[in-house]
Amino acid sequence: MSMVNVNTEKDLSLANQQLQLGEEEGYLRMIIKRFLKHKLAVLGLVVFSLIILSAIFAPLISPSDPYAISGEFAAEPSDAHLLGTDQVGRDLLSRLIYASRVSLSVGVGTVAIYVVIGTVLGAMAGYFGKWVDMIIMRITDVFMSFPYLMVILVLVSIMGPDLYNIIIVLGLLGWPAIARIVRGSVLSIKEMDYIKAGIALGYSTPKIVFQHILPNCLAPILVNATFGIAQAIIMEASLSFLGMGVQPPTASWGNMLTEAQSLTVLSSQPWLWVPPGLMILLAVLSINFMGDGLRDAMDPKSLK
Amino acid sequence: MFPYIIRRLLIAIPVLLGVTIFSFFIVNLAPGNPVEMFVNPDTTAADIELKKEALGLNDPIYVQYVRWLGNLVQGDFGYSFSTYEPVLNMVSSRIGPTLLLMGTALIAAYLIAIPIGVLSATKQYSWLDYLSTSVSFLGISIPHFFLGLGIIYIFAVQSHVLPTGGMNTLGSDGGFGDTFKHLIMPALVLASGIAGRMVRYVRSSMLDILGQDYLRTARSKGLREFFVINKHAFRNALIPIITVIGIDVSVLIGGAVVTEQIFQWPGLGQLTIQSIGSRDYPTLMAINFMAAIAVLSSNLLADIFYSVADPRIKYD
Repeated sequence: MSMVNVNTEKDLSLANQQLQLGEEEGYLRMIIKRFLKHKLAVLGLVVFSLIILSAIFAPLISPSDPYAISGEFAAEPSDAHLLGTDQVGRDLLSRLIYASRVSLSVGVGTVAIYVVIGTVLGAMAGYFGKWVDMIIMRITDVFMSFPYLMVILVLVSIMGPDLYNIIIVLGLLGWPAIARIVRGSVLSIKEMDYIKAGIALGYSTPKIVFQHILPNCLAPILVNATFGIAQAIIMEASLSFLGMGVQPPTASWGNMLTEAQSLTVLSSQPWLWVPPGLMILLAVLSINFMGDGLRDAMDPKSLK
Repeated sequence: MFPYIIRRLLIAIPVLLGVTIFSFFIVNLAPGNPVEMFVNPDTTAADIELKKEALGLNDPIYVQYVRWLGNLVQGDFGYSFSTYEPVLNMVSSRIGPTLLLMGTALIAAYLIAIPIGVLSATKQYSWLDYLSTSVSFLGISIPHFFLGLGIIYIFAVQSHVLPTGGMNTLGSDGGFGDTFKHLIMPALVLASGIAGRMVRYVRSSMLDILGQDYLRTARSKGLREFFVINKHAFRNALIPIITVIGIDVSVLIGGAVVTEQIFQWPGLGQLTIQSIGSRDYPTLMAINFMAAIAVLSSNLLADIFYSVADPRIKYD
């Protein structure tokens, strides 16, 4: 008798699992379908994937060593150097390709750090409420009232301008928006019956928060994170442009543009500054299109 | 309404204190100190010590903070470590240019973006909508320094229509026309991102409103389409947009640092870069403090406007 019971339970739970899986797959498929309808978002995805691939396979596709002096100083584009050489005689195309590694690691690294911080703080504030909420939200206010770029400039100049410090600083300052989003979602979800049921069943708080509440905030977090990658890339480029970011000889799209601040480069050597600028624009634009497509695809207001 | 404003102001005080504490500590954790800037072969260790003592750099950091805050309350921002001028003098001569630049950029951005956003929404999925969407994304995505260099190349280097930088032509008395010419490019650069974002907000806000029943009612009464859009829909679409202004101000402050640097605009952004270079903590602190006040008060103003514009919102 008991055997039968156990078996039916197993069957039931299996069926349940399949049902859930089916539903999730359906939801995912619907989002992908809606995303694919957004032509600019698809274009963004394609371009961004190409940038990622070129960053990964940089050593294979760059025509020469980005640090080796391989030609004349500031030579015009030619067959040997498709985009010309920089002021020290290094191949510009290779530097451009290697610089995508910097931008992508800043984008992804920064967002990974601040999504974790923002999610944990936001979930704590929303779930525990009362004084925990009060303190966390006041800290969030403080971080939101900072003149963002100024604080970053000061912090980076203190810690020393290099790639890892930029990622850390941007990550430590970027979380407030995520914290607010997560707090808002947690506040609205925690009053729902299935959460109360979870509490009544004696589930531990982390289990309730991470397994039952947070999956519901995934869509807005994902959209915010996508735009966040674009912002981080612009921020790194701006810092490097101001000389407070990634330092030469390491190539970054931002510090490659710094040289254009001299009037001779600006007016008579456009191959030195136009390509890195266009690469930043291309990368940021494609990510922003993807973010827009994701937002439309995941918007619950337009879900059937 | 009034109690709400008072309460918001009271909440702003600890937030502002938090900002000062945080920025004071990070600024003072910096390795190196301003005294090292003046070291030359003739300075002895005793001289350095004397100088540090005179600047109060040997006290514990919280003592320095309390002293700084006490002076601040009395309107004293201290003396610059690099020029020995009162910080207030240095900063106040920079406020005007920065406000001029930001104000022009903000007004230009809204004047351009709001009509385009409305048009884009009323003609959804037309070529005009696609064009405005693409251009606004371009505005959001282009880094200030690249756009700045690009238009310097076009308008100053190639065609000599506009000056490359500065606020006035050297040697001129700086009349309105001259300043205006210098203002066009930096304001355009600063406005690009804000206008791009604003087009997106106005468009989606208008789209939300356009689907609502009361507009159908207005149309069925026989109201002309022009009034349906511009009176009934637009006013309501504007309400959620007001909150964006608060965000825009903080975007402007950050953008001003890069833009002023490119165009040699003698404002607070340029002073920030200079102060970081010379480790001029008192000046940095003053700029940070003022920027934080600007962000907080613009957010508060946005919330107040919000409640004025939408009587359904009740604050108590």
